[in-house]
Amino acid sequence: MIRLQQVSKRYAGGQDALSDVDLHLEPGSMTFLTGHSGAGKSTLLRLVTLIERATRGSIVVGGQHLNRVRGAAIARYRRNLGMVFQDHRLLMDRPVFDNVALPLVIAGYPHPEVTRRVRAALDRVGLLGKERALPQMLSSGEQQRVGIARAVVHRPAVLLADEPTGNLDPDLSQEIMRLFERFNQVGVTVLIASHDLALIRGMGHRVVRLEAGRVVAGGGA
Amino acid sequence: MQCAVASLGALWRAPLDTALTAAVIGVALALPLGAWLVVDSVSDVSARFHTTADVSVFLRVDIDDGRAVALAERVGRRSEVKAVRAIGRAEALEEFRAAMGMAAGLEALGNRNPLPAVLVVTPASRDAPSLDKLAAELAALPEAEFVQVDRDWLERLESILEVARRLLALLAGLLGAGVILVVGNTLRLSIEGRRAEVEIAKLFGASDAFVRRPFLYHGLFYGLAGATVACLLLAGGALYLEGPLRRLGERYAGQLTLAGPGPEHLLTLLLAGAGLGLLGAWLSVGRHLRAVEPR
Repeated sequence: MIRLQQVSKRYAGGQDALSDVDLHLEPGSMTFLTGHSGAGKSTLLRLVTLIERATRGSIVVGGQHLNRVRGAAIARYRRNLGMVFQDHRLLMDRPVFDNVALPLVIAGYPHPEVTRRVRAALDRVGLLGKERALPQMLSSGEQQRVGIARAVVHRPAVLLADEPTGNLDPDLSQEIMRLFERFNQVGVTVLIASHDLALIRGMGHRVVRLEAGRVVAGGGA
Repeated sequence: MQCAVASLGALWRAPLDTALTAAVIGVALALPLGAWLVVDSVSDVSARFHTTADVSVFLRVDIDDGRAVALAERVGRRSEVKAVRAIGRAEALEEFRAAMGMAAGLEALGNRNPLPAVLVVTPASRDAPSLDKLAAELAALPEAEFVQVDRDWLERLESILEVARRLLALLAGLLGAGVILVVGNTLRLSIEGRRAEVEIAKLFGASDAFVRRPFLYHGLFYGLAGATVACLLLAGGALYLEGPLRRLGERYAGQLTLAGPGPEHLLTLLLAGAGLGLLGAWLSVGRHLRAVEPR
């Protein structure tokens, strides 16, 4: 599903964020990327979402060579991804419904279908009934669940999450991880960057460890 | 449609900003069109005068009314003359006194009449070469002191109007560019204010067209709101000027009224407002959205 070969990323200042990373994620797998702050976890996710471009190497996602994805094709490519962020990145002046509906509106779904899917996604994250609430009226954990509902509402093939439990207490973190597992169980390929080793060790999924931009454990197929 | 309604809602939620922007656009649209309407009205009057252009032959003061009438008969027989009217010295004095309100000044002259007899010659043809030829031949008459073609001041007025029209075209161009800049700058600020939203939309696969659309609607609505303000300004201006213009017309031109604003002017304003708003939005959004990429 996701294959990185000899991928390196050097930022303008000359700093190497990733060096010769090889990584292969099977379709329907669930993988954690871990490592200290600055290890390259977020950079790797940014390369897969095409926020950044690799300096060297190739990345293939769902058969698409990302080096060749340019212009309008970037938007089309991103519609197949679901993304969850540590800071939620919600539209704070829009109700929960609008936030979750965003990927569907972008993809041009008709209004009744949008309503049906948004309600289904909110139901799966336990927030049905909160459609009209503004994000600031919700707790941090609820805001993250809104972010997850938004990430899965359009049924993406790949779900990427960057430190999704970074601002949450241990109980809420467990709850959020169980949500990811539920989406993975229905066939979604999940890749989560997290520095919380205590949380992810007990979950029994593959863990890829990065240090100074290199894969030091759990790489390969 | 949903996007248009959302854009309208966003403008409605910021009434002061929207009103200020619409007012600036309205003034910029109303100024050239208002001035154009004034010039158009004066042009209309000038055109009416053109159809009655005559040649006035002022005779020497020693020519009495009897010789003036005889000369009028002689001139009237010419093929290039359609009609001649002789105004005797006494009649001229009466006309002068009545028309110009100079009775007091003329009283000071006592019984002396300084005005000459005049032949008002209506030419058969009104094209410029024929008129000039006729004027030259009439000026050559031994009884003639001075010949005035009434067309001259109209031609001067036409020249002034032509300059005014061109200045207005320049002004309209400059103010049109101003509208584009006002809309562009307003939208630049709007894009900055919604930067996070644009970034998130792009992260979830929004195309450039999707991201651009609400801002284009903003530009369109700003333009239409500005055009509405311009319509109100013009209608108010026309009401304000109606009385004085009518009185001026009665005194000099017979009938002088503003040639609008009519439905065609209001439609032009709406189209111009919408077009300039859209253009400003298109240019600004195209330039500034490129700079907003997900981080």
